[in-house]
Amino acid sequence: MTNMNKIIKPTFKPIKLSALLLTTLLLSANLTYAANKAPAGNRQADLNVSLGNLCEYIGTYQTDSDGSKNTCSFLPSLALSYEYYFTPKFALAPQFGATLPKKGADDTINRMTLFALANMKYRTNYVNLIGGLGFYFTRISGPGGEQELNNGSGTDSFPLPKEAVYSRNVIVNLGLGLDFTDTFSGELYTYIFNATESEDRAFSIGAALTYHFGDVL
Amino acid sequence: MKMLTLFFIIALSTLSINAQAFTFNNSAKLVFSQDEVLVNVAANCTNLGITNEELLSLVGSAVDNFWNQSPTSRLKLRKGSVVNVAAAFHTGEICVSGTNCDPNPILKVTNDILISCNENTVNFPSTAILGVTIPNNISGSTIQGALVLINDQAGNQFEDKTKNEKISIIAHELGHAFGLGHSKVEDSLMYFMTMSKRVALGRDDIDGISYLYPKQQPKAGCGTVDFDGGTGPNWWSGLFLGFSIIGLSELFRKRKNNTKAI
Repeated sequence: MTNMNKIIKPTFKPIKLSALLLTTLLLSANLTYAANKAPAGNRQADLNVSLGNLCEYIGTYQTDSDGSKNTCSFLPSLALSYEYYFTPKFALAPQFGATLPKKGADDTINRMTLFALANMKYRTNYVNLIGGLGFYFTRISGPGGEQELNNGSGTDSFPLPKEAVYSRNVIVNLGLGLDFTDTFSGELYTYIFNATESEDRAFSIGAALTYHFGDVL
Repeated sequence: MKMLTLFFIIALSTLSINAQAFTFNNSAKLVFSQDEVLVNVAANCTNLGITNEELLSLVGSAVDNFWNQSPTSRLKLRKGSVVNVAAAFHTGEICVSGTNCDPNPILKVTNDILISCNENTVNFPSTAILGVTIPNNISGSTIQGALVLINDQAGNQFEDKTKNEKISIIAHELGHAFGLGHSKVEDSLMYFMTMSKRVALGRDDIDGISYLYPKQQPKAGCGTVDFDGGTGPNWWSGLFLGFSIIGLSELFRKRKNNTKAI
C-alpha cells in the first residue's frame, strides 16, 4: 500500500573527492616528460597495480529531491594487470580488479564490484591509448531477516536480501594513460555498459594511479 | 617507494562506505521468469481524469524513464495495451478478507502485469492511498501475474497529481509488481512517499532490481560454453579470455623470432 501524499527532503549528497584529485594529478602532469623519458614499465613485460576511484553509472540515478542525478562518488578501486609487449608500442594487458565493498549504515546490504578485462595498450609519444573488453560483476548481498517500514496506512515487515547475487555485464573499456616516471603512471578510463543497447547504456568513469613493478614474473 | 605504495593500498582497503537497503514485496524472493514483462491497462477508470490511452502512455513513460534504465538488470518492462476485464477488478478487494493478504482469486492476473482502477474502500480506506499492488498469481518462487490497483474513488488524490508525479507513482507500483518492497531510503523510488521531482531511479532501486533480476551477459548461445551466472562471478571466462590472448601473443612472438633467425 502506498501513501505518496507527502513531500520529502533530500538526505545525502554524493562524495566527490578522490576522482577529482586523481584527475587533477593527471592533467597537471608534464607531457614533455613522458615524451623524453623512458615510459613507465618500458619493458617487454610489466606487472603493475593500480589504485583509483571509479564513478559508477554517471547520470543514471537520482540523488536528491531536486531531481539531481549522480555525478561521482567515492568508490576506491584496486586492480592488477600484466602487460605483455609484443611490439615496442603495442601490449596486451589482462587486468583483474575490484572496488571496495560498501556496507550499509544499517548493515542491511553489501555491494562490491569485480572486473576482469582483456585490455590492449598502444604507446604514442605522449599518451598511452587503452582499449578492451571484459566482464563487470556486481555483487549484492544482505543479512536476511525483515525490516519494519512505513506502508502508507501503517507499518509492515519487508524481507531483506540474504544470499549474494552477482550480475554480470560485458563492458567496453576505453582509456588514456600517461607515464609520470619510470615506475608511476596515471590512467583515465571509461567503462561502457550495454554498449549495443541504447535503452540501458551506462558509463562509469575512473581515474587510477599505477605502480609498475616491471618484468618480475 | 614500493613500501609506500603498499601502505596506501592497505590503508584504502580498510575503508568502507555507506550504502542503502531495498526489500522484497513478499515473504520470499519472488520474480518473473521471463526477461520482458508486459504492463497492460484495464479499460475501467472513471475518476482519474485521464483516458485509458493516456494512462497507458503514462505506463510507457514509467517503464522507460525508470525501471528500464538499470544497467545491471535483465528485466525489461514493456508497455502493453488497453484490455477489457471483469467488473470485479474495479470493485473487488485485492486480498481475501480475514487473511494476511492472500490474493483474491477472482482478481487473479493470468500473466504479466495488469493495472486496473479500483474503488473498493477496503483497498483504499483513504483517498491519500494512491495504489495497492500484489503479485497475485504465483507458482513456486515465480510470479506469473501481478495486479496494480489505482485508487479510482471520487475525490482520489491521484487525479490532482502532475503528470510526472503520476508517472513516478505508477513506476513505484510496478516495482511492487515485479517483487520489490519499500525502501528506507528517501531518494529511492520505492520509498513509501512520493517526491515532486522524481525523475529517475535511486541507487537503491537499481540494487533492488539487479538483485532480483541480475543481468547475465553474454547470454548463452549455441555451443558448450556455460556462461550462466547470477549466483557467482564467472571468473573462468575472464581468465580464459585474458590468458588466451597472452598465449596467442606469445605464440605470435615466437614465430616472429623464429622467422628472423632463419
